[in-house]
Amino acid sequence: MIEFIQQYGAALLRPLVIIGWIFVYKKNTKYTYLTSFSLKYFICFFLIFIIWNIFAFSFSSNVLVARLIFLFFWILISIYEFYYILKALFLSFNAEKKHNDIFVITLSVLAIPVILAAILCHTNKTYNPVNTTDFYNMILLMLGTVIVLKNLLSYESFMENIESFFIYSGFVLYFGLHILASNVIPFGFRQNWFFAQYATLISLIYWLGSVYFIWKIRSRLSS
Amino acid sequence: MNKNLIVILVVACVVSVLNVVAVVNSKNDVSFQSFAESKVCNAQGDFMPQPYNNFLIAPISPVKESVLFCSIQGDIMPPPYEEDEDKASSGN
Repeated sequence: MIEFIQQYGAALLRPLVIIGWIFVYKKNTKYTYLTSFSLKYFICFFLIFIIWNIFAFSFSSNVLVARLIFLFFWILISIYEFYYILKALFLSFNAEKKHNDIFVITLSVLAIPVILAAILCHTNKTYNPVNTTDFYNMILLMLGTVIVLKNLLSYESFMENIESFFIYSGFVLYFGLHILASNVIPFGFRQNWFFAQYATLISLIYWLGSVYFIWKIRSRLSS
Repeated sequence: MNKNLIVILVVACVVSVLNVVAVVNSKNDVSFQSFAESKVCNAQGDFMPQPYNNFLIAPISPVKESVLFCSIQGDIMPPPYEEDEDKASSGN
């Protein structure tokens, strides 16, 4: 049972979470621009992971193709996470439309190490570049998410952005736990990957539970 | 221009440079941590890719470890039970 949860727990929970959040998105129509953006892109974030898992599962027997698929989707999800958190940061500073050029430059600068790491990983046959870059990415993403949360609570109306609050607090949990999981030695080799799996699982359970709380809060507000 | 956006851009540039330097320099690192990281993938994802060069991974024994080590909340971990100690106490 433990091994089954370790192997497939996160992959099985993702469709449930996406259904829950589609329900949240459809339930209410009056959202702030930030929350509307956060909800749409959050659902897409899960869709990418589901497509990634389908490919990973389908090509699991072919080691070389499975590695290439992993690297491709790792690049995709890393750049997507940067895009998501950076855009939310710009939106929370009310600077998205005026300074689109800075947004594009920042995203490009952040994408360079990700692409370089994947290329080096493939050519040198070592996971070191990917592991190092993922660690740096997680730190940056967590910092960015904390600032988004701070702006959300200090500048915006909390009650109008409940969904955003639950999304970004879940991301703080997700990135924070993954930073802990990125050190190989304390947790052992294989155990380390499963620690990261549990980190994902905990975040997914948090996001799934958030659906219930959002539904309760929204129904109390509407009554 | 918004001061916050300049800070974001500067932080992104500094971390990206650090990241690239760390990735390039990782080849020269001969520590055990570096060796382990070069063989086993540690990045995010739901399915773990195969380790390089048939790197051997220790089998998981969660049951054994959970019996011997205390993993509940608390700041200071109590000493683990030794298997011999267990046998000795059960013998008495």
